[in-house]
Amino acid sequence: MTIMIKNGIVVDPTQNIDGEKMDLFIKNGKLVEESEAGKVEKVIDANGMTVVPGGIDIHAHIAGPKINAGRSMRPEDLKYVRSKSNKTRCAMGKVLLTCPAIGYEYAKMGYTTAIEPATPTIYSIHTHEELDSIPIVDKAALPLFGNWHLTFKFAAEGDVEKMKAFVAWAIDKAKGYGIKIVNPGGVEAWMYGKNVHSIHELIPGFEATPAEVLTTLMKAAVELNLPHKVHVHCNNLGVPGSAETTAETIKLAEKIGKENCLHITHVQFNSYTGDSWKNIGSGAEELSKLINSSPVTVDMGQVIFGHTTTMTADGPFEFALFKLAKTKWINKDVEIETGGGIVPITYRAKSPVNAVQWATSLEFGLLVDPDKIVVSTDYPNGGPFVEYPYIISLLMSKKLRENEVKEKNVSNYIERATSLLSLDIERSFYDIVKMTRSTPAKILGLKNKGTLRIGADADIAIYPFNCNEVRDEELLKSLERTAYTIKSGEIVVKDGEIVSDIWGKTFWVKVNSEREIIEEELNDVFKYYTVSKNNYGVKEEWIRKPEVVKV
Amino acid sequence: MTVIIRPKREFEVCVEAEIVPTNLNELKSLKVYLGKQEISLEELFEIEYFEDGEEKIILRGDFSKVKWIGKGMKKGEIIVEGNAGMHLGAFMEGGKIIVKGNCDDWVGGMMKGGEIIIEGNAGNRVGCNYWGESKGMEGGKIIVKGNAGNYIGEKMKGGEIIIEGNAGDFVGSEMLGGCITVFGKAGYVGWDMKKGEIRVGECEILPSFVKDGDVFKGDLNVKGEGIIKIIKKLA
Ligand SMILES: [Zn+2]
Repeated sequence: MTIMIKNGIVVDPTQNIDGEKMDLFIKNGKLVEESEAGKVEKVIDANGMTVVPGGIDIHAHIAGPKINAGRSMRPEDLKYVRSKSNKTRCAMGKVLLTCPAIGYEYAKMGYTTAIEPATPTIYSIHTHEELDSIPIVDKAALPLFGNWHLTFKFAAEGDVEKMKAFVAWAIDKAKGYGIKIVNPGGVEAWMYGKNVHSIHELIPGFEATPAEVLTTLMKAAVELNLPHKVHVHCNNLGVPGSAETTAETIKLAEKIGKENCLHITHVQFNSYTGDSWKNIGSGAEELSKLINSSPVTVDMGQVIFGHTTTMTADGPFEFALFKLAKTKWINKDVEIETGGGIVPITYRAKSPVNAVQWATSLEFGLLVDPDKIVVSTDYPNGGPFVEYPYIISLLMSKKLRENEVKEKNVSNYIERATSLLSLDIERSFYDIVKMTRSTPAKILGLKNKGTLRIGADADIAIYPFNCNEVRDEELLKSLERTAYTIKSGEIVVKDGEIVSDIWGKTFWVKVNSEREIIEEELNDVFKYYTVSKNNYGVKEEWIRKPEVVKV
Repeated sequence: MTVIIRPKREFEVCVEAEIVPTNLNELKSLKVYLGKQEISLEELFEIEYFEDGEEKIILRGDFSKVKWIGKGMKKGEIIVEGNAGMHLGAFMEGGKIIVKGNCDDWVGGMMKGGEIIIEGNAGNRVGCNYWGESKGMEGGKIIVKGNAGNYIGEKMKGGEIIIEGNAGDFVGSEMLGGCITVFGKAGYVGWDMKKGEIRVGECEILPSFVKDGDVFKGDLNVKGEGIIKIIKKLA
């Protein structure tokens, strides 16, 4: 269908367009010039409405064994019914949404792409099955490399060529999109009931440190020219003093020196000062300066007050959390690849620690260059992604932040431990579009996303407000539901309701490299594996709508 | 007003109908599910009424496939003249439900107040928590004149459950408070119970309970302070 979006107020940072009234034309799922459009079949009157590219979630645990184990661990969450089956499929879950709910909720708030950031390669078949059950949005998965024995071996040998071959092999097997690494070395140490506490500490059983692992992986990613380089969940996550580890990790990227070579995910969870829970503070001010002058990028990892379920490959961290929260706990050990843990928790505004977490992520959102930071909750670790409009409204208005502190009774400990309340910064809507569209597209190397350039994917969100006349009180409501969401040139949401149930694409990266040089090592691994080498991995034809990115 | 509700036909699949005492218009237009089909109460049921100053609903006929009767009810009275389906009186806060026949599973799940009387038998999970929830029944009273199934009052925190006949296994498991009485026989009772009291005619005592005078205290596995008391069976 050929669609014309008429008289919309357009914001597109990739073309320096900031709230200009213009018309857009869509044909065959792409944005086209008016002259190419031909006969327009549908005109959307966007008068007084804001038109932006579809949102991109760079880090949300939306598919795979972890989220599914989380769902079975928290059946009470599924009592929350979002929509019953009628036109669309039944959608449930307050925090741990079902597959249909994930696709629908993203679309309703104007998001059209989401990245599952942590998939054990051996379970990637499950991840793709679930991604294939999420309607509307485009998606991709990042396989976990961090605690694969072969990663440590090649890092210890400093062998970038072999690391490249291994990365290429594993991404191909997982039909993945890049390199994810969680608590490098820590998950391996956890298999012996331990953790690693510094990036320069040796990993048990290997002659390599987390720093060497990260460096070798970054070199491999840069040399392979991956669209998205290394996506790291840092060591020492979630504990006082973690800010120092994050600063050291940023220095590793500075040595590589290549723009976007390292993405530090859910940075908030790794940015605490102090040496105990009693004197925990925010390291956001210092770290933001470091981030702004280095090649790394980050996403927020915003904490939302209320119930959620944490889940990460970081097994030792989840165990520590379980001991603090005293609730349910799942621990998982995935052969020689990775591990994982799941713990439900509640973030309380009155808790000084949770308040610091809440404030720290907002500080990052206000202090880091919008070309380097992406809005995220590390769904579901910080909270549900449906809260993005809430986060955005707080970033855009100091008054709303102050109201929130008052209304939720946020612990006044944040006055001492963070700088949030003294920050007068209010993000413009232009900055927000960067932090939710163009910046994640750039970090992910998705050239046709996060932009309204001619030739780009017609993934578009039209919000029912004028971004040139933002009123604090209406902000949240204006962003929660779109007037229209268009995905690949089809109208999928109208007036905040799903009107068409379509399937998005799954991006994966095909890497050219010489696999032969690691043949011997791989054969050795599979001698002891539960799956034979020939049966390992996912075939492209098993995926509903694969979209290969060749490098 | 007393409202008499009768099924218009025999239901081939389950019906989900959250019937609670309210005004006539709301009752008639109440959305119910016949399987996955959404439909109004008056399309499926005959609704009659007469003004008598009462706040009462009488369910006449076969309601054994009708779920969620009295869900979240706050006041008034429901009388089920025959059998009732699952989840009767779940999340109930006040008022009274009387069932003359038998009841399926989940009677009074997570109820907070009010009274439920089952003159026949009840199924499993009377007064329990729903899957994954941390607390079961928190208040009110459930009386079963016949027998009940397994898992009675799991994670129960308050209120009272009385089973005049026998119960199955796992009565009061993970109990947090309140009182359960089984006049007849039960299987294992009180595992992982933290607080509250279970009175039972005859049961298996777990090794993690210790005798203290004429009662048993436990469950020691969770440092519990629950009490199990053996009482005289009803004649
Ligand atoms: Zn994550």
